[in-house]
Amino acid sequence: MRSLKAYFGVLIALAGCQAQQTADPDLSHYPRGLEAREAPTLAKLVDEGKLPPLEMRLPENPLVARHDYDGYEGAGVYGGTWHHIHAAADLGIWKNVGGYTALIRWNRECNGLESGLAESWEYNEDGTILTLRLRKGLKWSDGHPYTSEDFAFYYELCLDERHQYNPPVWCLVDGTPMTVETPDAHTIVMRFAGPNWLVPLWLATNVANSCDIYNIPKHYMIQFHPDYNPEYKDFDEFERRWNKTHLNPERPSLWPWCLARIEGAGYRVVLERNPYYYVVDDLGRQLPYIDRVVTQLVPDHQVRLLKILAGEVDCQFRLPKSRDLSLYLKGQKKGGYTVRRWTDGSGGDPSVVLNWSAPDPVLRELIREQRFRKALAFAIDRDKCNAIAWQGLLQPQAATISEESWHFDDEEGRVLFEEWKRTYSEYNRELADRLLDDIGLDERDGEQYRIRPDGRRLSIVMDVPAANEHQEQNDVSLIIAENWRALGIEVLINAQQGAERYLSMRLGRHTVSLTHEAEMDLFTYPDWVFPTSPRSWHPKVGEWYKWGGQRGEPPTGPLKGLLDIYDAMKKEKDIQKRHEYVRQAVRIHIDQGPFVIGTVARRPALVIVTDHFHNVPQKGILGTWAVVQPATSYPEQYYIQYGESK
Amino acid sequence: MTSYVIRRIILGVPTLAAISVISFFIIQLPEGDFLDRKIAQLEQEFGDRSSLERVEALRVRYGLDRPLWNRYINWVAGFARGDFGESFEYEREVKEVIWERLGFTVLISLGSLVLTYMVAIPLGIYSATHQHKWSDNLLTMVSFIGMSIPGFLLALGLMVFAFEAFGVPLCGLFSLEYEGAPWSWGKFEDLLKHLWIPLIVVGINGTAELMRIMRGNLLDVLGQPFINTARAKGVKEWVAITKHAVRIAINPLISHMGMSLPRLFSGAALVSIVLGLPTVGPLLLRSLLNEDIYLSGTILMMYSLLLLIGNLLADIGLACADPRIRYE
Repeated sequence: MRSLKAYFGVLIALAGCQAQQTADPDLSHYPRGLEAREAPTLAKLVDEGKLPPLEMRLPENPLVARHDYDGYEGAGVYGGTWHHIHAAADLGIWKNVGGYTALIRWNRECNGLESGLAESWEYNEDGTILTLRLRKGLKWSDGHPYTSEDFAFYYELCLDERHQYNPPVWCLVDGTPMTVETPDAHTIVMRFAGPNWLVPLWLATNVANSCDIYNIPKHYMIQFHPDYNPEYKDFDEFERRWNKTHLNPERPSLWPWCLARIEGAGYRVVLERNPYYYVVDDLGRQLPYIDRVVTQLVPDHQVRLLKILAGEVDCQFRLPKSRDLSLYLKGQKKGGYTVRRWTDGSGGDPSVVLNWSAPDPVLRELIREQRFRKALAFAIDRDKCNAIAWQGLLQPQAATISEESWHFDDEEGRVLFEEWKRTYSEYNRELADRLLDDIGLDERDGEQYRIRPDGRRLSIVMDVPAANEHQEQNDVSLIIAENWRALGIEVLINAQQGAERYLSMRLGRHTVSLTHEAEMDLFTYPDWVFPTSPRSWHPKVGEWYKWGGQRGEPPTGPLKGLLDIYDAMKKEKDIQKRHEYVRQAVRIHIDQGPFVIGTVARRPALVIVTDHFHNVPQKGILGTWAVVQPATSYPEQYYIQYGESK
Repeated sequence: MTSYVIRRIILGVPTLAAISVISFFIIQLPEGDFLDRKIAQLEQEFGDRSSLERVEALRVRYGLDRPLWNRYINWVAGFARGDFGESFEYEREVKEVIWERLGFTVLISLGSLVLTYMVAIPLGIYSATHQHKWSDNLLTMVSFIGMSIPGFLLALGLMVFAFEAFGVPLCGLFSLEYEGAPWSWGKFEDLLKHLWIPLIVVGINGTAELMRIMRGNLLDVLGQPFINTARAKGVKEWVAITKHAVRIAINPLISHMGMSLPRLFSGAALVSIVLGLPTVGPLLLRSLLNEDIYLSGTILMMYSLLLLIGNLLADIGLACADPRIRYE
């Protein structure tokens, strides 16, 4: 038995030996350390004549990565492989690290925009013309120039009736799409049918919505375009290759690391450095520092945990779960990594969404009664939710958007936000009971449940995510149900899998539903606060707004007020005044809410950083996808170095 | 015999057809389809009616606007030309997606099948011939534990054990440095070092069970008169056991083999998810959750086909092993 154990021990030890990434001996005579202005692998290719020299590959005015954050250690060395984990074939998590090559970017503080592929942008006086100036000499990863032609090609496709894609929402003013002109290779002029001040934000917001869509390599795509290549009769093949940055290694890319191989149907994805990447550090050295990214599909949460504990993952965002915090902390030394506590920036994890247009007419009337909503809010024991579902890691509060949102970025804003966060967030059973009695729900049946005005038992179906999809929210739902039952309301929990919960929310079939709530920017994603789209607490009114009054239910009361504010906000030129409008809307939520009931929020989002991995910020926000973190901290300047000296 | 085999193959066709209907329709029973998830994503992205039109266009492209039976017929009609439809999530042909994962799936499943029989039969024989001795009791206890531990739990346990004891997670099939490298002797060795965990985990339940069956059967046979006759004739004990007794006792194991093939595949699915192996199993789970219908339907069909083939092979094997069995 002992020998058997020893044998396995040897096997396992052998299996675990990791060859450290050693440099190719050929590269030894290329400058290393901080003297190198480009990766030695690229310098070699230049010498062999396979690649143009660095000056030819960089734009005239390359973007210099900002690094004024806590956690920045200095300019890095070239080389190494970043081992990373992804959870789904669409590489969504990775795109928020290495896929943010937008025309205009969110800054890291999430309180403004900074230049990206476009060096500068300006509006005319009335906001109808936006002019973008691209950096001169930008190139795709195959060396072909990136110009205004590429954007024009994208927009032509949007207008092309034969093609499935429509013009994006941000380019429409009262239903009329913009026109795009390209006076020269590095100027894009967009003309709108009316004032349209939010376009730069839309160009920067959310990778999947912005650069992933409008960055199209025309020179590559026209091979599959029926107008350019008579071989193709329709857009089928074109579709298959269009914005599949994560699926098609052949497609030229602008990413710092471009897709090189996909193995085993997405099991393992390899990305290699882009020799034409347009960002440099402040010494003028080309980024990224790290040569290669290898990201592996690990579907099981426990296995991810184990891989991280073993130090097999160099740096990981979004996947480590906060409930494993103590395990991760315990394993730091052995695994050779540290845990950084970023935040998910949420205002509710979960938030309890009450459907303003609930299908049952009696419940609908009740939900529109502020005292009823208040009673539901006061009945929830948030400390218990926090302790049981989240091990006390979160904070009890009312449902809000993200605390870090730029709408509240001054003294007055912070005071307002603090008030919003506190309103309707205390636990007060007596008050809740009294409120329900006051609105005439004081009769009870044999089982002590309250009787509705129509004589039936007051019973609510609560849609919650299945435990295998979101354990913590499922746990919280049990506590809410217990609290509400104590109030005399029967609660039936309906655990839903996959698309079901989303679908019923979109169609407005839900009465009460749980969902994660986090939003940084209400200008582009208004619908937590403003009833502008058919989802969340306002599916029918949102439908009405979205379809210009042709469908859904017209807004009344506070919802009308919110939509009026939103319409005024959209036309406002001055950004301070726009923030002002958001605050007015929040005031309505405070005075006439709660429309969404808060439970607990602000989950620590764990970031794993191994000891040889450098320049990762100490703090950040990983909940909302709009502001694209960590990409706004320029992950291309993260570097790998073993030992102390540079 | 030949006509029997042909008849069985012909009978397999309606069985498969029935399976295809059931698997195709059951997959789509839950409300909503792949595109509803996609809509969720697009609405996040666009938040406007243009995104809905966009989704309708996608619906046409994937054929999800057509009635269910129409989609079914299109899907099945493609089988003849080797077309199993397109996976929505990977936006590639289903057969390519499966093909990329098939190698390791077959390796692990067949590997553990071989391991199972190689371990279970000798141990079963040993156990039967040493009935009620301490070694038999020990084997009995071990096999009961082996039968009752779910494979995924054992996998997790082994991984935690290996991690606690040696500090390496044993997930995947290769160490980091060989992952994605071209094949070499070193890589092969590395594969062997990782392969034993999935093989053991996938095979353990079957091994324990087969061992019990082998032991029970052999005990039955050993008590029968013809064995006593053989012994009385002076045949050596181990010849009497291996040549006369085992040959009879092994029959149920062969018919068992037909069942074990698909079971190994589905057992491997769970274990692959836990161990993070690049096999078809995790693909199936994800495609079912996403309602990536053509992918999941095709995998289910493949499993069913395996079951049919396994059964047929087992019957043929049985006929070869036991001259008394004839199919007319």
